[in-house]
Amino acid sequence: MYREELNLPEDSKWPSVFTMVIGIAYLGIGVIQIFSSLQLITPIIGFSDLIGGFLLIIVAAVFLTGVKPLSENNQEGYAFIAVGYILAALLFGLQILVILSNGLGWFLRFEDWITWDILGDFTPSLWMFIILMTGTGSLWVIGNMREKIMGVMKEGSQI
Amino acid sequence: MTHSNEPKMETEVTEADESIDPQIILADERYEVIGQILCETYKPGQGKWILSDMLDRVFLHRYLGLPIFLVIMWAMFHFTFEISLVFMEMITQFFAWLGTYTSQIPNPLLASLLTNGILGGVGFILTFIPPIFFLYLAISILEDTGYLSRAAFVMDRFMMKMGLHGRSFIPLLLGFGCSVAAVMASRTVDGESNRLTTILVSPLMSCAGRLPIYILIAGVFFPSNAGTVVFLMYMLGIVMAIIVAIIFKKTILREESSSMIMELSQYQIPTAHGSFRHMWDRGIMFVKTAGTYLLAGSIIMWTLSSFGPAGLGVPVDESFASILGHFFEPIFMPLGFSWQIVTGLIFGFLAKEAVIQSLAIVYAVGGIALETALLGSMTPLAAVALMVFVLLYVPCLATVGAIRRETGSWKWTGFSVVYQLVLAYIVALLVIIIGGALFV
Repeated sequence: MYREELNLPEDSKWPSVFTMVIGIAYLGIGVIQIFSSLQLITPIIGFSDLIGGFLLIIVAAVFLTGVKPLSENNQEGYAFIAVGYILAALLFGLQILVILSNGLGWFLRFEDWITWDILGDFTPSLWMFIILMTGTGSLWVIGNMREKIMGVMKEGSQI
Repeated sequence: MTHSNEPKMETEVTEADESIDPQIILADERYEVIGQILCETYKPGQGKWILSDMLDRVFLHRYLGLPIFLVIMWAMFHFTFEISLVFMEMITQFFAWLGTYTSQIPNPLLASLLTNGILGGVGFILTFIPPIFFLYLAISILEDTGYLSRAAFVMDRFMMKMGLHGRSFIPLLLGFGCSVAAVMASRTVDGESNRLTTILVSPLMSCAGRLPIYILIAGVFFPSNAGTVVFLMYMLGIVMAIIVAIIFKKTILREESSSMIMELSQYQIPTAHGSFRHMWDRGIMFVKTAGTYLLAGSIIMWTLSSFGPAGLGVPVDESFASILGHFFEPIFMPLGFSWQIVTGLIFGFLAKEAVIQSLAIVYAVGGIALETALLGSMTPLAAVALMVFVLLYVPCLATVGAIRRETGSWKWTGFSVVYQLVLAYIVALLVIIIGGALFV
């Protein structure tokens, strides 16, 4: 039903694998963030927010819930990918705004921002989304190239 | 005209169904009947399934719906708090700069009134314009996207299980903005008992007027997790509203809940014009309040802090404000609140913003910076208890008036005020006792 309207891929095998990789990555990073914030492991810069860790796990849960329907070639799985992207983008956008506002405070030399360091604001929700988008973009390019190559091969075989 | 396959309501309840809430069975039956009617009358065309339906599969998911709601709520409060900090600092610096001029006025009485009373009071409260505007912006965006109605739908399942009316959650969500709006929105709730329950618990939701208190206290006592603390206070408001509503529904306001059927509009991309317009319309009310009631309140508070039985210019410990605070202080002694905080809480009956405005003036007249004074006068645990007390006690006089209008009863209005005071005190005391046992 969605496929025709939303121009979704016919084969959900690779999207399901990609979704699982994203989900596991978000889950792993979320757990590390929780452990780091609770100081159960060596604290890592940018991993200090406990709630942030739980949020990443929720994003992971959304992605991972979509794996099963996608592996069964059920188009509803794409809904989980879409909402996973929306949540990841929300957290990313929020962190960008935090960096911009903190940067403004630092630029204006306000007392509370003098010691501000951008690395502290470089949280997993920020770079995970960058990785996610890079991965998505790469797969899109690869997918397009594959379709072109397959198209050329088909044309060649027909000739 | 007759139909051979007319929809019939199933009334037989099997043994297996007995453990399920009858309201849920009723809702299922209703949807089944609706489905049967639709089967006869509705012909799906091409292109009916759109992105909006797709997103609803996840946003309204049985298990993921609530966690997603929490992520979005957290993002809203994180946005409100973190982004506004730098703008708050700008306004603080502006008023500090103004204060350097007003404090040099030759007439010491006028200099104190302008510097400690008006700039220290209204000026201080105006520094909270950015978070309040950002909060309204976030609420507007959520409303305009269509997610807020989904949030009510997500919560409906839980509220039904607890014997509450799902529609009650919409006024409760409006309570994030203003308790008066929440109380008035309870008109949409069906059933006298359900409506009254909603009216009584709506003030427990954190309104924008409480936000400055959370931001101040969380910023002073929990600077590295302030945004999360503010988010948790809002969540506590929701939890307390649900708990209290359950208690009311099981004791004084018994009535069967009815299931909610609501039409969910399609998701929309909010327009900048629409969202900022909504933000402005709501936020400007705060500025108007600051320019009128809070200005008058700050002058009264300055007068009470600067005058005492011995006349003008007495030490703040001998002022009328001190006498007022000391009179009620013994009641709040177990919570660890000083007389200054007690005075602030008394003025908070008028409007919640007046709590920190009063604190700012009392400490300014006493010649101490507010943050330093708070750190010196209370423990972090008492600070949490203060936030909890502010969350749960009567929001403002305007809300009390709205409750009177909506219930048409002084009895229920009085009950609302008294139960909130008692609840606030008990929960704040529990914070002190349990927190003391766990963390001290």
